[in-house]
Amino acid sequence: MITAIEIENFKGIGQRQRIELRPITLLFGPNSAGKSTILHAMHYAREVLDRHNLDADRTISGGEFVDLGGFRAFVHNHNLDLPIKLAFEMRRTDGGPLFGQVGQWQAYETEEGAVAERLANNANTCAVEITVSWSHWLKRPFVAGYAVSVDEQPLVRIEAAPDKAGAKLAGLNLKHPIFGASDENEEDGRDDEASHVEAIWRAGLLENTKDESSRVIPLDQPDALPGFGDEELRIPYDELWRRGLDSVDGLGPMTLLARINLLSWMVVGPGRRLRQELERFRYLGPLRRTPPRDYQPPRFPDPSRWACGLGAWDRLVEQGPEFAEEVNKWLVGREEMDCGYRVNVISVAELPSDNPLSAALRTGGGADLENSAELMSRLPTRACATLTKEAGGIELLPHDIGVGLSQVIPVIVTALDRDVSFASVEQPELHLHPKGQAALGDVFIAGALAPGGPRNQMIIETHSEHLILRLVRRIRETTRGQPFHGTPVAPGDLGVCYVYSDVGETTVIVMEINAQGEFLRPWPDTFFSQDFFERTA
Amino acid sequence: MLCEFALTPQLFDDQRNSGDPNWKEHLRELGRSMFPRNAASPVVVSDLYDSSWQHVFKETVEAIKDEAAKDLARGFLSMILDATVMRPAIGNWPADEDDWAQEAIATNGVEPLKRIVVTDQTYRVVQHQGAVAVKLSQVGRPACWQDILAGRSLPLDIAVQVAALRSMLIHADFIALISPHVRGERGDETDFMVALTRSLAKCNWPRPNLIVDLHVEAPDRTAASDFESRWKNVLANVRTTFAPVRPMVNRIRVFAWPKVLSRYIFGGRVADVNGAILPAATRWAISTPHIARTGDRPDADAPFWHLLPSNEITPLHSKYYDRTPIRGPIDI
Repeated sequence: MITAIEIENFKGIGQRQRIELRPITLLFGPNSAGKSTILHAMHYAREVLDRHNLDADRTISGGEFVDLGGFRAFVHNHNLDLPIKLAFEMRRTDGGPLFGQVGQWQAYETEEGAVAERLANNANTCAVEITVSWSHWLKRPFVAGYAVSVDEQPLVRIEAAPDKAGAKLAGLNLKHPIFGASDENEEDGRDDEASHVEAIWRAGLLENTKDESSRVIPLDQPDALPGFGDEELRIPYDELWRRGLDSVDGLGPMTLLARINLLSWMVVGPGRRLRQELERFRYLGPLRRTPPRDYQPPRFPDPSRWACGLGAWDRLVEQGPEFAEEVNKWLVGREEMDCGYRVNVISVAELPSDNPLSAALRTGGGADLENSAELMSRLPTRACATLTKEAGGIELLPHDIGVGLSQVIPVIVTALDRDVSFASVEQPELHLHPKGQAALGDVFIAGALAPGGPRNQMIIETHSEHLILRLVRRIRETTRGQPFHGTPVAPGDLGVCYVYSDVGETTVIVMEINAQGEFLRPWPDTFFSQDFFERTA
Repeated sequence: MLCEFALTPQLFDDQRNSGDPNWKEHLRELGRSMFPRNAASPVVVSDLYDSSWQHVFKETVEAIKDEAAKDLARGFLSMILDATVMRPAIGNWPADEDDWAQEAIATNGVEPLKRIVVTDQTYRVVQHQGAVAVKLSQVGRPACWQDILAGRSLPLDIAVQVAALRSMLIHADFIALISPHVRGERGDETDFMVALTRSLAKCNWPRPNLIVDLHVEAPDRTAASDFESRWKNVLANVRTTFAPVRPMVNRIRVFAWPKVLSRYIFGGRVADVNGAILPAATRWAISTPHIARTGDRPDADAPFWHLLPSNEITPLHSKYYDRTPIRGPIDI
């Protein structure tokens, strides 16, 4: 999971700001303070990694709600001399490897495999930092840097110049513990993995100039990296063979290739992992559209439909009645939203008026009615979502119910969807009664923390006092040994960030919470005292 | 500066105040003045009898039958709970309002309070306390709020400035001075902090912690080869100046920042952070353009000190405790 984001020179954020992401992270703060900037940074990172779209305006995950306007618009203070830096910290959470396998070479019991094994399975955290700058030469943004740290120690760094002269390996930390190297080993001259990687480095196979500080790094699968010129990064196999692979410190060609692959994988693996995380990022915008009366989900999922809420309806219909029942537990439960409506996913067959079956039904009999099963099977069907009013059982379309309910159903779907893993929601409380706003806290707990649940990581931008009070109440109840629905909520499960603008600079303060559900620091504004001021005025 | 009030829980008892048709309006007046909307609250509230007061207060509020009054009192409750400071028990368990008033009088003898607010029926118990005693029906009078301000001018006299801060910081687990003029040298602001530390260390009830933090400006030219030796000199001077009060407190720490332009004094609470007791939150903060130094003329223009509102405190705390200083924190 992504455990922290660091943002520098992006929109209102100038100085580097760190936002720690917990299973549930709430972003609070005044209007226009920069809360959405944090989410926009995630949209942009996805564009950079996934589509190499450095000058992004519309984004794939932001849909119609996010228009970044291009680099000139989102670089801090519109200053084209500032580099935008986005860093993402990821942590192993499920016991699996931190990075996936890249090549078959890893399967061999080689020294390179051992290094890869340590990196994949022993490392607990990694961070990827991407630097995007403006090239006055090319008149467009370019990726100026890409750096990977593992277990909080720098591992590798690539840098590129603004004139598109190619990306260079600017740093490789051969003393990183994953190489198994230590100062003592170096002194002993032991033949460890670090010395082999160093051998590749020193052999000149990676260099294109005499200058040691500017060596081209040959990479396998450079497409996984954010927008460097691919040609410069590709492994120059022909060149390797031409120069003779066995000339490097007596290493065999396969060993040498494996080591170059290892180097490649150390660079590509973390970026690929981050890209995968961001590909599963779902964004639910602040104004959700209600499905039209003739709504039909698209045949192929469209990630950009999540921003306006329709993606959640698509997903609800796609998953069918069983998932709808999960949603209903939250919609109708007395201790939950208790809103009096159930959502249904039904399959509708459309019967044209000139269909023989239609005529048979009108006339009340005939041969066609006897073949009704077969005729029915030929009719086109479509799945759709309806709602049933609990009192009276009236079936309605989403357009026929209150706005609050149609706004909140996509929120519940997003929280409970097992295909999401990482979601952000703006103003989930929109148009909701306070009771419903509080119940949303439990929905997010179910989505993020419930044993056996989807374990989705949620980032919520909100102004709801009821939502935060419900969440801290669940922490307090957990401390008392009474977790709601058997789902414990620890203080570390909830992150609360207060975002404010200080002389035009967006600043983030982490509001830590103790086991009693109390904030350790005074709330920075009158958010919780507004009621008192109104009553005593 | 910050003042401490003792309130009897029965101020919020609708039965006890049933004879006062303006009871709710008096409560509103009290609330408006204690917690102004657009300024720092100048008041903290005594959590009397080892913090038992707040439990009785909560029970009293929840027992109110008039729903409108209960809503008002609940709002009061949430504001007051953020403003309480613990006062140790002195007398027997207070069974009624007269007993709570007596407990407040007793604790006033240990460490002075600014006001003891009681219902009109109990006023006779406290009236001999002079200006400290206030009955609920008087809280709308300007005299009740005289000298209770979130800001005031204080003469350049270390003893006067320390005395003005004592009522606020006596309840703090940590105090901090942010100043560009703390070098441990004769005539700088180190003497003020030593005097403040000495005053607060003499607390009239047991206190588990007192951490003193000094956020100072690092010597200039940090890249210069002699930077470390100049920084060590600062530390040595501060260590020497604080030596007399060092045994009185748990820790004294020094942080060096690249540029310190303003002066602030913080007081707050500590928490266990990864096994170490460290400052967790600043509850009160003062901003001032000048701090008295040894040798200042007390008749010089008195600088204005003002208590910062909560919306400024947490960002300031974050600035000095969430970021990494050039050097420190270093225990001296």
